[in-house]
Amino acid sequence: MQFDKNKPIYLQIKREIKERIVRKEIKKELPTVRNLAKEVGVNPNTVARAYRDLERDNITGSRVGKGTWVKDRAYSKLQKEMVEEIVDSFIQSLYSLGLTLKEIKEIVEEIDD
Amino acid sequence: MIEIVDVVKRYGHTYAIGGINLKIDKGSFVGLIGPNGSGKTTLLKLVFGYERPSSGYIHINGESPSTMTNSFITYYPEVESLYSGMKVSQLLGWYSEFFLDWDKEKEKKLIQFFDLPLQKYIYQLSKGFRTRLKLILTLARNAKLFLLDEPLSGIDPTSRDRIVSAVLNEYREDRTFILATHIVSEAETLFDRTIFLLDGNIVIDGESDDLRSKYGKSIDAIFKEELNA
Repeated sequence: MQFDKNKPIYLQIKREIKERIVRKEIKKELPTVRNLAKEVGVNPNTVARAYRDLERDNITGSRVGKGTWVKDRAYSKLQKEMVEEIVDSFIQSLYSLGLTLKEIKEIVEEIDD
Repeated sequence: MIEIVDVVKRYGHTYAIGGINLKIDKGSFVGLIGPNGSGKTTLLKLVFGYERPSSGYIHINGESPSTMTNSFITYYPEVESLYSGMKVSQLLGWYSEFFLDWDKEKEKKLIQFFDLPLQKYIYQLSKGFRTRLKLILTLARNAKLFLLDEPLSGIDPTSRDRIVSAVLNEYREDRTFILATHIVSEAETLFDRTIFLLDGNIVIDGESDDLRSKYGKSIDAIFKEELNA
């Protein structure tokens, strides 16, 4: 994993985990803080901060000795969140080219064919 | 873990440390960043007890630096003081006898990891290999506090990653690290906290990720642009 060192690294780790969940690379159990830290080459405290954030956002749960796992509704919630993000930026780019919502819808329907 | 209170270190009329207050928690990995002559080495020596403060005090787990605290501190000095007439294997044997927390298994792994030639005399080693040997002598102990002074200097950039991952591998929740360096970019992901020193004073101190979002740039760029280093 390559980081943009100009931005907080724990936020990039958080994003990476969310994407791994949506891609179903992580289905239930998250890697341990220590293993992930080694894998991506950062301080474990930085990974721990990302994990605390994920838990606060209700995406994961954890218990001492039981590790960290993805919560039941997290997958669909995250998928929806990420799809919306992409659709939003897609529509914004087309708006900036001067297209109307009607024209955008027509384009999308053409893609479908 | 470490408490530094109003510490000043003077050599004659020169202030190496101008008055530092600092608390470092157990389990943190601190990057001590600053240009040459900013006081990094002096600060590490004060923590290790090589030097005494001119005023103020330092406590490690509530005690002044002493041979007792040194039993759980491992120190990587910037200057080289290896006995060049010994073979590598002899020196390692000597260290393993001397330190109670020496970990033979870890020593073996580190020797492999760094491709260290055991049968050579120390004077036969290149500068890069002497650095690796010094690093093994520091990391093979199961110490609680790791003080590393410029472990990336004099190392070619391709070997730096190897050193960074060897150091990262030693991190545990109950171990504390202070790594002093002016080579920042390869090491900055190691630090959860970064302290910038300039002319013997702390000028910036914070969680590394908080500094990245505050300044909108990497720790390396803060060092180069904000400190004019």
